[in-house]
Amino acid sequence: MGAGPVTQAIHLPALATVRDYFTVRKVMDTDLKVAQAVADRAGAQATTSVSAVLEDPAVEVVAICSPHAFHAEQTIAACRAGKRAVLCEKPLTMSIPQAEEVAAVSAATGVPVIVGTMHSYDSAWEWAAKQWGHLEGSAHTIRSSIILPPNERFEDFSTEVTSRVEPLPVNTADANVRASIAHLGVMAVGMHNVPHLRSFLPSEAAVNVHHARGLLPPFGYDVFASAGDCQLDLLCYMYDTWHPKWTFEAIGDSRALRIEFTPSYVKAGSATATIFERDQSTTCVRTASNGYVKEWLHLYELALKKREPTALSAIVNDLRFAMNLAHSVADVILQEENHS
Amino acid sequence: MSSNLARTVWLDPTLNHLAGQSTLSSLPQSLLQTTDRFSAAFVVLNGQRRNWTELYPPSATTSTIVVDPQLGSLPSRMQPFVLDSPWAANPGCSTFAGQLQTADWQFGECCTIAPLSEDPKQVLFRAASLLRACGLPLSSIEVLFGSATGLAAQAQSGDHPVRISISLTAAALHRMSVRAFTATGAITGEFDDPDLSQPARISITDRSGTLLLPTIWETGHRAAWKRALTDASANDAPGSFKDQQLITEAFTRKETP
Repeated sequence: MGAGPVTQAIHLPALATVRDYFTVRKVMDTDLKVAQAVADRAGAQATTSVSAVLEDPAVEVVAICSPHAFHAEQTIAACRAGKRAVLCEKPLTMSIPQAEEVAAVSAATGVPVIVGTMHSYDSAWEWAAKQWGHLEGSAHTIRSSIILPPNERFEDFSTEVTSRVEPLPVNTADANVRASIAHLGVMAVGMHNVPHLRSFLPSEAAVNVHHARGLLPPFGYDVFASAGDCQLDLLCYMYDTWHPKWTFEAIGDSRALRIEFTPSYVKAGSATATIFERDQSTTCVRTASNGYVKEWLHLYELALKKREPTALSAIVNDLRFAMNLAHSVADVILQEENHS
Repeated sequence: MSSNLARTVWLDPTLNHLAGQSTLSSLPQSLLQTTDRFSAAFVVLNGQRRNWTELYPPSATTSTIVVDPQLGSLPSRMQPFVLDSPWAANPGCSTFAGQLQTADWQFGECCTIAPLSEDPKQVLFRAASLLRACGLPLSSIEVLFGSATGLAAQAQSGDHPVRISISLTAAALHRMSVRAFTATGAITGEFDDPDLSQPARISITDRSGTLLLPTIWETGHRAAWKRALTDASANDAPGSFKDQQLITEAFTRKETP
């Protein structure tokens, strides 16, 4: 559902690598031309109707890639339609009550729901989490540094995008707009590292933003925060560079983890992760499957009940953390700009 | 300093840690060691010694190298000295500064991972020295978050914001890195163990790609010696004092509600 660049450049290419597990049956978009063009490419049927997807018994798994505002409604509808599993692109919903409702419906219907934070499924992260052992409270510094060229460049590396929507002009002279852009940056990009970050934080630790600055153009943020005793150093900058560099570091008293993720969209294999100790370091090998492919394989196992679903409460808590962070970042940007 | 007559150097005997060994191993062969600090042409002082400023200067004609001065130890009126800071003395710094001079950069970043035994304030002092040597002298610092294992600070270098992140660990990945973001890329400096001659990696990323500038397999200690021997105007005292003052004031503000 939703046949924009995420479907075209991420999910259909990922699904093409797991044809033994999945067949694309329907592509739904409110724009029939887009739906048709994308469906033709995948050998699927096009539709503009949500119910046509949900009522089709041949559709067993649904991926929600529509605009954020529709995520909650469509995920709940897919669960109630009795699908085997649902993948919802991030963010799961636009509010916590909506997310709690999704969790409740998922539990009541027994339909597992996962969120498309693909780096959570990356084999390098899975390796690192297993090697590290107990994560919670074991790092005193977390650094997430996401330097990316504009998305369009990587969409074009991945596929030919049909009917790309031009971004609306925004008045970046307005502090409220800049704060909103940083908020979007946290929810749309920073969200990818939230599951990793939260794994290391004490479960009840509230986030406290000490400094935030919006980075333009087109967006990004420069944030220093803390949660409990843990220092959070968060940088995201999407700008006119060719050189992507996406790193996540967790640093503890005697151990440190560094993960170098591949950029979004492209099928560049897994991340690489290194765990440093006092006198040695261990690095996992890069595997051919990236987080998107692993995400689909995870969904396959959930759909066939070969794997126990992860409690949605963890996903809701990730969302709560990201929303609190994004709101605080926007507030601090406005405060600092008003102050200066 | 062109005479071949024996020139003498007095090495602070408390420099017995790795930095001292590295300083000694890079001692120019034209210098002879002496135990008489007052007659020496060069003195090398251990800036980590609590009372090092009392040993300084032995005479007006002495050239002085100060190794890793401790934060809070610099008096406001200092005689000239060459700073042998673990990171700022790295010869890659001048390469970085040269590139930065002609770049239209927007904001900077300094990320540090230092040994767990260090004091984060002292590491911040070294980071400020590194930034100064790389052409981003700090004009203000605000400490945002601090603990025994790290700190975060927001600084300005002129009109440019500079983010500083320091983290301490016993894990073996100690490094300092500096990035200055430009409209189409960045100038990046990655500095490894300061007592080894592993070269800093200074690179420029722009539309045409990433260029790794020639590497220099020289320790900061050796580079400090070379400056002391060849650069008569070398004087890092004012900059170091300024950095120290900014950091001290920043911590005073942070600790005063």
